[in-house]
Amino acid sequence: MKSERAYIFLFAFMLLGLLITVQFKSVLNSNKGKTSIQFEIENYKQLLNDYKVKESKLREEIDRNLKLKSEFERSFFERNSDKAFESEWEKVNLIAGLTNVVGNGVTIKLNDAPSYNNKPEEAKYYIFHDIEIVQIINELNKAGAQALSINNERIISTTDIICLGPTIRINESRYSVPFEIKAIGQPKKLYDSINNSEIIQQFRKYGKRIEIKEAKDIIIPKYSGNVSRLIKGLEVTEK
Amino acid sequence: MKLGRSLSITAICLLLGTMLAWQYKSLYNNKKIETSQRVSLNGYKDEYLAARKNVDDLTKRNEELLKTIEGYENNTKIDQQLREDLDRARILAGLYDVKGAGIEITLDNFENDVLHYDIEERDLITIINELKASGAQAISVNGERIVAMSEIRGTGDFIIINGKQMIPPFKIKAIAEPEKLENALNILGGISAYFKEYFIFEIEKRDSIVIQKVRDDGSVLKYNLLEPVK
Repeated sequence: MKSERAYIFLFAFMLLGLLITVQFKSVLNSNKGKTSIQFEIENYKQLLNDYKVKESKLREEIDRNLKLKSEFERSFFERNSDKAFESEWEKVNLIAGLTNVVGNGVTIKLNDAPSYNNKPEEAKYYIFHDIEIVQIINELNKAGAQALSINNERIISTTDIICLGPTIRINESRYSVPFEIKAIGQPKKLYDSINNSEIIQQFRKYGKRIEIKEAKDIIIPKYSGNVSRLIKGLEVTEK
Repeated sequence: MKLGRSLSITAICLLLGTMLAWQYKSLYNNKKIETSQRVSLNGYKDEYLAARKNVDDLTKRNEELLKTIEGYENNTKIDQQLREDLDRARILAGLYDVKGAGIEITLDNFENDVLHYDIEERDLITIINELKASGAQAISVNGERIVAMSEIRGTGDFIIINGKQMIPPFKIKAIAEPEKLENALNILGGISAYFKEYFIFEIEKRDSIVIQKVRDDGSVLKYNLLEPVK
């Protein structure tokens, strides 16, 4: 009788011991795993930060160099007597989007709807999509816009607007909401046609935030990327 | 004695049961936490790779600028450089006829379309945007060059592009860098399933496509309201 009891206890304590060991080990492992992933995350955050700093420094430097370049060009035109060349230069760069420009027009601020009514499957109706931004740009072109930018990225002939996860890629740079579209043209015409357009009515129905304003002296920056790369596949057949 | 024995065994079994449950739960939770951390790790990785590419591109751009400025400082090249820049700007603006490898898309309504789907403004905008995203450098629709300020207006009966009315079929031509062409076709493959369901949608690869320049009669290219910022 006594030995039977002892066996039961022996068995029970063996199991207990085993369980404690397994539990201990699992906690230990998970801590180790956690720290290594967290370590990697921290690492990437740090790298990301470094690159953001590098990027803003580079952008400043490019801005400075662009200014320097246009100063050289201006002084060249002042010395040069070929006025036809100069006016052709100005005209073509205006059309191509390679000149900073100022003029009257409208500004449009876009933001996603404030809440999705807690239904994630309906979220797609409440956020801005790439094609919707393209549609707004198209509406502005219909109304005779002469220069356009989104978050200060100049719209040129090759500009694409594509969703990449939660961000939108414009001219190879990524942006997330809010978006600010600037358009130079006839302010009243731009305002009326965008404000009354079907797509804007639809966006408003879903609570997307849209703020359209007529504005004076809007500055739209030039395209700052590399033009040669944009036309690499093109061979001129007729001038 | 008998009571004491059953009580102690009950206590031990209870303890064991609790520990088993606890163990199971803790393992399950660990797994869940790890998955969510992996997801956010991948997010950061993607962002980092994008940031690195951005910096690489900007560095290249800056180097080219410095080279140009260096050429200007030597003064001999400035006239030639400006003429080259002007030509590049003309190509970008769509002021020259251009030739290159590319793709041609035919888009048309079905002849006996019981569902009556008509090609709309939005369909053309989508295709053009996808073409640009896949690296198209020049695009035309039924001969009308797509430039920065080209509008696409659906009126029900017609589609109007650059002020010119047109009706289906639409021939959409695009020139891309040859090495990016395959990639472009893959991206277009993604949307072609959708378009094929509603329309006639055919993509053809061409070794040589000619795309005409934009009409420069003052109706498409307007810049009278723009003032250059000095």
